[in-house]
Amino acid sequence: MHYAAIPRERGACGVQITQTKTDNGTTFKIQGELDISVAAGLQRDLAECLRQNAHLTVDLADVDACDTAALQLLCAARRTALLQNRTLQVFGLSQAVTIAAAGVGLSLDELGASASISPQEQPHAI
Amino acid sequence: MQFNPVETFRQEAEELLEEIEQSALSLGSADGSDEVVNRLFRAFHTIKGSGAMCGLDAVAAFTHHVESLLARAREGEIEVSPQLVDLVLKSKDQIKILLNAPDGVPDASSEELVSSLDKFGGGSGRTNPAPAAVAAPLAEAGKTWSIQFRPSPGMLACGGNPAALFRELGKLGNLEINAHTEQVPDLERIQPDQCYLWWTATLHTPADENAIRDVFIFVEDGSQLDVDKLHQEPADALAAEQKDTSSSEAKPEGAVAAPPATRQKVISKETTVRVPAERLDRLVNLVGELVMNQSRLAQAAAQNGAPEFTNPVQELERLVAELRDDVLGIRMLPIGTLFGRFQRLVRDLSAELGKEADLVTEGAETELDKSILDQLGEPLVHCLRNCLDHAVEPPDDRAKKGKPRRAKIRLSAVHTGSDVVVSIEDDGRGIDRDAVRAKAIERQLIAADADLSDRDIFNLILLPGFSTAKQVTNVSGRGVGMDAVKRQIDMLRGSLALASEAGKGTRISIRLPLTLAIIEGLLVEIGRDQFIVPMSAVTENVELVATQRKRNNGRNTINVRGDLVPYIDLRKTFSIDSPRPAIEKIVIIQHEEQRVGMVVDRVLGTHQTVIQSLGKFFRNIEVVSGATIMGDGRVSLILDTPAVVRHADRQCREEPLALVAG
Repeated sequence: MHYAAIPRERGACGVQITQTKTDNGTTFKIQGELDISVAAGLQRDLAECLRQNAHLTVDLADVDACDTAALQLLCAARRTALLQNRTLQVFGLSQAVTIAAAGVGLSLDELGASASISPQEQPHAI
Repeated sequence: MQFNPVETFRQEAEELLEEIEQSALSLGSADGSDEVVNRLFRAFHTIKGSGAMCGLDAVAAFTHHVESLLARAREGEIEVSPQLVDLVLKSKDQIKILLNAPDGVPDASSEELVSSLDKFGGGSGRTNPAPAAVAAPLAEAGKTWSIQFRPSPGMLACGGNPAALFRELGKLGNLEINAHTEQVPDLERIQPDQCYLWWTATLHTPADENAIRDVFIFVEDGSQLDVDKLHQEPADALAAEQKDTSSSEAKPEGAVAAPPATRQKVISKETTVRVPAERLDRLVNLVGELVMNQSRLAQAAAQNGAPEFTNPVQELERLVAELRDDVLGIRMLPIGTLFGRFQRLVRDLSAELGKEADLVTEGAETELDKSILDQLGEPLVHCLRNCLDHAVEPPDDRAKKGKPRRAKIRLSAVHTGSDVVVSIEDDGRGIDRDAVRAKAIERQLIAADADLSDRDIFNLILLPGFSTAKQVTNVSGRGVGMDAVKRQIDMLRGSLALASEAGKGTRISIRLPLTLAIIEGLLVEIGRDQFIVPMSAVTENVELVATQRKRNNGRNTINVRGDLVPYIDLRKTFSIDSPRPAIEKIVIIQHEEQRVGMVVDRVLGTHQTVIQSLGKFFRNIEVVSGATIMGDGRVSLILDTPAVVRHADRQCREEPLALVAG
């Protein structure tokens, strides 16, 4: 799956989503620039993925940029998982994500990230 | 049309300056001055912010000083006084000058005023630097502010970036932010481009509240921003905030928390759209054309006896009439927009003349077509100037006469049928009937022994060059005022009446049509020519049989249910050379306080009349106010009924018959 912002060239920016089945569930890996222009597509895929998997891990290690709309969407994903009695964990927070969250005063817990795991320690932890 | 942000700002600033003037004037008289100071503060604040955004730095810099003065008034450091009102009004004038200055460069008067603003009420003579210049080190001294920001839902979609806002805010001092997520819905319901997050923040800074609010200026619309100075320790404030947050989080899922009414100042989102007046004029013209074509179509369908067109044509007629009313409605503006500016005029003028007067306005919500309002300002200014200069006595004289020292000028507007009557009434000395009469005799306007009613005498004042003022002042007395007023009102198809009682006061009543563009008319025919009589003037139609003419021995009067009504023969007025029918019709109109008939051959019915100007070559034709194009392509003249009556009146006095005046 690949979403690109409408005015942008495909592949030049936007995000790449990769879903991988593991023993512990599914890993939902997001790569690229995560912003409002790709949020609608991401919403659809995250919702679908949560419906199909009881355990979902979101990997944000290769997110190059992140805006408030994207952070808000990740909050919504965590909320949905809680409501549907599923687990969603965010691992591998890239620097772009942590800076974006700090910039708007958003706790990483709100995104479903475990505070004990730093991005440097487990960049691609599943 | 190209969007020009500076021009848009200028227009907005003009409106805000009007509002400022109103508020400043009410500050001197009304209670609730705290709210008025707040209103003034907000208006100046908006001018400052938008001015800076548009690159009008001189405006922004100057306004910053006014804002600081008002901030001191708000804090109670200086008292609301007439001197403060004066300074605010002067500042308002100065901003207007800066706005209109081609290069926007402040002049000497600007600097002088800045100095007065800063020193007012024992000020230090220095004001905080403008926000752009606020250096933002981690301040040791300063205040702690609690900020709550609930952005408009559409902020993200409009390109708003909260992270950038907080970065800016962080430049002002020590900032702690806390994002609140309880309103973020689940993935099924979230609209990714809407903003559900809201924030609380604590900022320790030497900057003032304006500087904080300035950070949010571009995202203000539809957002809620609350900036409060904290009196407690920051740690306590944070604790209080967290408590607030936890209570919010206890709310049901998805419930949108209503802002606490006591703390929030909702920044209202404008629900109006600014449209240039010329676009509206064009729209009105197009609707006019549409109305004319619709009536041609209706006439063609009726004449050709095509029944399949009857229903669609009727439906079209209904829709066009609705469209016409709506489009004309768009151009209607409350007359209060005009009244507002007179408060200042009366205040300044009475001070200049050494008189004391209050202007009381009523019916400010009464609506009139914009084109009429635009042309009404000047005549009303003339009337008010006359009123203050001639009618209102000096305070001591008033006291001697047992009147209150302060004169009261009442400016009111009221709807009567399809007209609006604007009245200017004072409690001054009234019109000196004898002086007017003496002046008229001196100028040989009337015979020395002429028997004139009060109304006739008062109407002499409306003649060109007539003034009884013994001294010409720079306010009035040159005798060019009232006839100019009369001429302007005539141009607007209105009428003017004077009433006065010696020693008690004068009332000038101006009757105006609601609109100038399209009128309901009565279509009449004389020979093969058709004319439109404005329906608003028509009271009834009666028949005139040839034998009745003879019975009256050539006197043009007819008995209508016991009343003798004079009538005007339009066939003679327009020199129409065709045989009279045996039974003619008299259209009876109301002219001022009397009924007058107009003889025509036939009354054809009502007609939606789009008024077209006759153009400059025919501008001196007195008895018609315009023309309209009929369904069959013919041109019909629209009668200016007061002018027809005046013309007939002159004819009766055996003046030379002339359709073309002057």
